[in-house]
Amino acid sequence: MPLLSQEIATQVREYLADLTSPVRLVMFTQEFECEFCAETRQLVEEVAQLSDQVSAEIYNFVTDRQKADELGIDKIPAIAVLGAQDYGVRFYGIPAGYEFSSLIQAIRTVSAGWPELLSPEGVRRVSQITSPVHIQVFVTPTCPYCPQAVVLAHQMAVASPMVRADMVEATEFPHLALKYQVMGVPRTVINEKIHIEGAAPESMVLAKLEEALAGSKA
Amino acid sequence: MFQFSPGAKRYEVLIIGGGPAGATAALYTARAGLSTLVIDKGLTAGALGTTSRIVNYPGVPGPISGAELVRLMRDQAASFGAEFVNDKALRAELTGEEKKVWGGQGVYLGQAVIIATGAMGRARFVPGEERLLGRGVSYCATCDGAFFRGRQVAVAGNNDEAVEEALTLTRFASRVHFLSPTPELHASPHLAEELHSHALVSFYPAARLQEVIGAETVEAVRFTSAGQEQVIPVEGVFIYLQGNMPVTDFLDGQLPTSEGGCLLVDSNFQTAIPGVFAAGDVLCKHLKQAVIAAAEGAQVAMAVDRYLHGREKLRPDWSK
Amino acid sequence: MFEFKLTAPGQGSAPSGAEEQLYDLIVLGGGPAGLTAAIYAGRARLKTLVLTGYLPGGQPANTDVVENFPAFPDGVSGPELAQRLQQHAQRFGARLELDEAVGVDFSARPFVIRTPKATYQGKTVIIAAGAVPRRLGVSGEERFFGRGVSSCATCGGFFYRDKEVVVVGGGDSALAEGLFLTRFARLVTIIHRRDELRATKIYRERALAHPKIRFLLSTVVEEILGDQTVSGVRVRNVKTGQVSTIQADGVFVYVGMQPQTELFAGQLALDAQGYIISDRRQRTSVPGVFVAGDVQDPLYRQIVVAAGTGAIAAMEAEKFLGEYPDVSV
Repeated sequence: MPLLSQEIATQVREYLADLTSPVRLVMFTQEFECEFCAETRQLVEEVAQLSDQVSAEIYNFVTDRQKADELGIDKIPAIAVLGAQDYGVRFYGIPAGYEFSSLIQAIRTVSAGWPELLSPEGVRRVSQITSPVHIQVFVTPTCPYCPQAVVLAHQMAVASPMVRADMVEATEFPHLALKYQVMGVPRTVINEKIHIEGAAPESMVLAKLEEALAGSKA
Repeated sequence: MFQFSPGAKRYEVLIIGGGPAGATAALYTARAGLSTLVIDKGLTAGALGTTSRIVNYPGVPGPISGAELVRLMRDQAASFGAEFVNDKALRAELTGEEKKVWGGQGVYLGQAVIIATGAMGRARFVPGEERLLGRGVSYCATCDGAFFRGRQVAVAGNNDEAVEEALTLTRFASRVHFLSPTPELHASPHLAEELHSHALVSFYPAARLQEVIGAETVEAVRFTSAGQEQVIPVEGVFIYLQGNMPVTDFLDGQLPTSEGGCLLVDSNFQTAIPGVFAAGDVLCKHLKQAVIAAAEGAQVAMAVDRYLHGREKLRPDWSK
Repeated sequence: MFEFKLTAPGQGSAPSGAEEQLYDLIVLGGGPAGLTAAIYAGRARLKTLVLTGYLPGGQPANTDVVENFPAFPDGVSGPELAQRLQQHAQRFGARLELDEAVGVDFSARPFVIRTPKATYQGKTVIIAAGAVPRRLGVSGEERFFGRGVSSCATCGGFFYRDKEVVVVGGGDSALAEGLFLTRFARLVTIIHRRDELRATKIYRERALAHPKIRFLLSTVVEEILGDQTVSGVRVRNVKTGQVSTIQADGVFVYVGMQPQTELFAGQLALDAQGYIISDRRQRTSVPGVFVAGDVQDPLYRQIVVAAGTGAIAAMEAEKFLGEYPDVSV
């Protein structure tokens, strides 16, 4: 029984029809103690069927530990979206509900290797970043406002080798929700200390990013 | 389970708000062959939608509910090809040839934009609301309900959206305290019925939310109901209150407004930015009647049509 | 066809007592603007009289299907819309008379309105007498009007997808509507009696360059042809005298509008074209006299826009009566 309806599969196929460079969906799973690993794996495999340019690679989080470390994967289910290079685009937890759009958008952006949804000003400022930035966007699948925050973070990851960006499905990682005090989504956490509530505009996220970096230098 | 909204879709006309002004504008632009998208928060989100009994819309002696009247107008626009999306405009980039509007579900692109968002925005936060946003204060139960499993929450509001969100919260919360600013709900009868009969919901009529209390996170709400002040311990507060301010927050000050926050337009309903138009209650210039807003919707649509076809403005024609 | 029935208060012969002839509001015109004004005034419990004229219903009564009046998703026939508006006004207590003003006196208070049948007094007046498209005055025009012959491309253009249509006129309206019709029609023939177009440059250039538009200049329409529906027009070249037939499924006549304002000249400020001058609140140059609909609107000429101005005019009249309750005596 496929996860994606015929209608959505058709839409995605059309939307990915003009990809010009290959994208690898590298997925980490394990057989037990992982609520949505099986579904996430199935989803990745189904999406890979919808474009010649998209492939799925499945790894075991325990037995393929080295591969996981290489990509900085520390929890499952996880998807690393890789293109000509690793831009640092990650999904932790199943990208279901509204987040499915974020996954498809990430595939497009990574294939292009260019943050097409970022403003020229945004690209300029993000590409000037010289120290590492880790953006975590906490979401729930039922949140219509969350993809905006996730997509923006992933765009920034593609714009700079210093930036990596994770979607984190809060209900699948309750200990992280607790740790980062997530009581509402989207909640964006930058370098463990700066928080943004809600789907903020690009200019505000940029400002917060720069604030996080200024703080780390001080 | 999987929802997919393909990235940016392009339209000739984006209309923000689907009340009488927006829906009529959509009817006119769609009928003129312009690809049209209406971004709207639902049938009972606006002033007309919350009105229960309309008797003076010409040709419809009624009584008809505002929501039903709006639905008729939208069906008519849709029959000519106008598309509707249930979304909330969060921000907009209006300068330039291509206008961008971001909603919760994606970005929408248009050659022209009509702002018909009405005047039911809230003027201010209640004390504690802004400070505790994301710390228990939320505007989206479907997003955040899961964080309040087994806890007590409050919902403030009285329209369909508030009731639907409260019902969503009953799947998680141990109790939902529903604070209706009015004695009766302004919601569809079946929703009101479901809320009133729900075992986990406590209903407080004519309840004015005064304060959200909490140090780090929400701990309680203070409100008055029937003249009595009450404080109820809750860990979440979901707010769907409405006011009477023009809804322009998503514009981030890109367009000039009057002192009262009303958008300013010229005689062709165009704002200071070419290709960006506005009509209806958001202009606060007219008497708040469905037929008058609808009339403005038709006028703004005709101005947009002329804008997109390179005509500067409407001109009278005296030719014989 | 359209049937007019008086069913509400006011049915029967005109009352005789002077007191009963005094109204809070007299509306001149029974189209969408006037009737919406009457709905609002009746709802506000103003004693309201509508002089509909002898062909009530206004412009929509001549229109086959009205598709763009909001809240009628399946469309509504023009006559049915007219009847609905009348019944709606009557339900709120407005009195409708199939009668027409032949004289007005806006210098008197209350205002005096004379018809062939009676003399009425109104504390306030709303003029909603409309404007009529100038007609060509050729054979077949009357018979097919509203059924293939029209003065409103935005109203009826949608029906002519992949069909051939004729537009008569050479001004901005004719060319603008001709361009509008190219979105639907396969071929638009614009017929103009002069050898050059009066329209402004931008329209001329666009229309001349448009592949779907062709022009017949120095040409007049002599007859609209057809059996059940319009099949074409017979035209004559005024220079050569040559007569020919143009095939067409629809004919759009844009030879100007005529606001119905002869009666008010000298008493109200009119513009050069005869439209009544008013402000945003629908007030005319005479306090207490308001105006609504096409009689003050050379631009939009839409039913819903007319209705909107009718509502504004009525609410302003009500406000006026509140501020000057003794205007009548």
